[in-house]
Amino acid sequence: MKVLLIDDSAVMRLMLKSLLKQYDFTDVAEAGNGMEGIGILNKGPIDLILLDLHMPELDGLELLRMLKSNAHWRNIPVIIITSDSEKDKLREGMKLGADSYITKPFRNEGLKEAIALAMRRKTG
Amino acid sequence: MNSKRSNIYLVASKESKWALDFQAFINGRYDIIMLKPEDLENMRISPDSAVRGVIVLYESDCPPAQWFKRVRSCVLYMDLPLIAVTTTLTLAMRAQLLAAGASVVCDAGDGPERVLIETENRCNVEPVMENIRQQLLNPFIDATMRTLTTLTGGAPLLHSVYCKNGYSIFGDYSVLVTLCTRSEGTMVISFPRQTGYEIGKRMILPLGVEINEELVQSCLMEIANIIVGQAKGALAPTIYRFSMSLPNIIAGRNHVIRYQSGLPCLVASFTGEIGEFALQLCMDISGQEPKGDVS
Repeated sequence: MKVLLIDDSAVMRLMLKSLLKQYDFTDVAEAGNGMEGIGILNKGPIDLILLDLHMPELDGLELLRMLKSNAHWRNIPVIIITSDSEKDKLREGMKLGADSYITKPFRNEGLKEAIALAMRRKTG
Repeated sequence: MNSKRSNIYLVASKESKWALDFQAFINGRYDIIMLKPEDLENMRISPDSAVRGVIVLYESDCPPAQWFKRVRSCVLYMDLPLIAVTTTLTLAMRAQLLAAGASVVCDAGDGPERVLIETENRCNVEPVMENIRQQLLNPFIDATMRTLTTLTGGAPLLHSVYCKNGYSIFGDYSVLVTLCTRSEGTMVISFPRQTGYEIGKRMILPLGVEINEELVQSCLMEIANIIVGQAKGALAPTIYRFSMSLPNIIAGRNHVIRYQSGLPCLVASFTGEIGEFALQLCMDISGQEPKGDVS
């Protein structure tokens, strides 16, 4: 299972990658913004996307719109990463078709639950 | 209301006649906190609205200006008035002391009244009004506590809260986030290098990755981003709602950032096991509705 991690913060990518490893997700691709994310999506199949909303270049919501309007990508489960502040953006993201979310700063269990929920929604 | 008495630090040898005369002149108007020169080695004068200034007395056997730099580094994050008083004033000494960070150099012969006036005139620190603290600053303070406790495991302790009218910010790392309300404001979190690295270690080392300068800066930017994000959420239903930029970092030992926003600067300084740092918030506190959509 391949996970794509899109976050402009290097330390947040490290933290998420480390947590994903604990949950046996070892195939993780990283992107520092939405444009880089698109580049990775174009290279091959992705099974799960963790997407930060607050990013330079192409932000999370814009990327989510692109994902959901693309026939190849629209079924990839997306977990939004956000801080508490962005409740409006979060609502918008869920409306656009995100499958679950985690809020920063997050605890380990939060990510595990968000992944489980996103995968259930995909298979359910 | 802040009921603490105001105080002035006086660095001098206890036997100094000038220091005794100064205390007699003050006659209880301020609390005088006496420090010996050797006390400066391991101390920090933390910012506090009660501190009005630091007076450093040089007498004939005084150490050189390098020693005054030590006084400057004892005062965290703020431009407290640092008044040098000397019994052997020369033009060269004045230049040296000003270059080392003195706000003004006084001749001991001018008497204590002149020194007190210089101190009071240069003090720009005031208590924060209670309603501003509750409605505006506390969401940032709460977000700071929560974020750092979760990410580093070390709960910061709030040391003091005050308002300053100067716009100088000191630190080794400063993360800036622009806030848009009625006018453009800024939140800056400044960290000494030691605190920055302690935070970095606590966030990075458990991931099995070696710490480096780039990752430390990434940690501090992410922390600032989360803090502002959380405060933004808490303030969204209020007149202090704002939109925010991505964080930027300025790194450089003992850098000073000066900006002229015309807005008051609210400061919350923290201490604790991760070290000292300060959050500085400059934004419109007039209590008027923001113009347009700031979501």
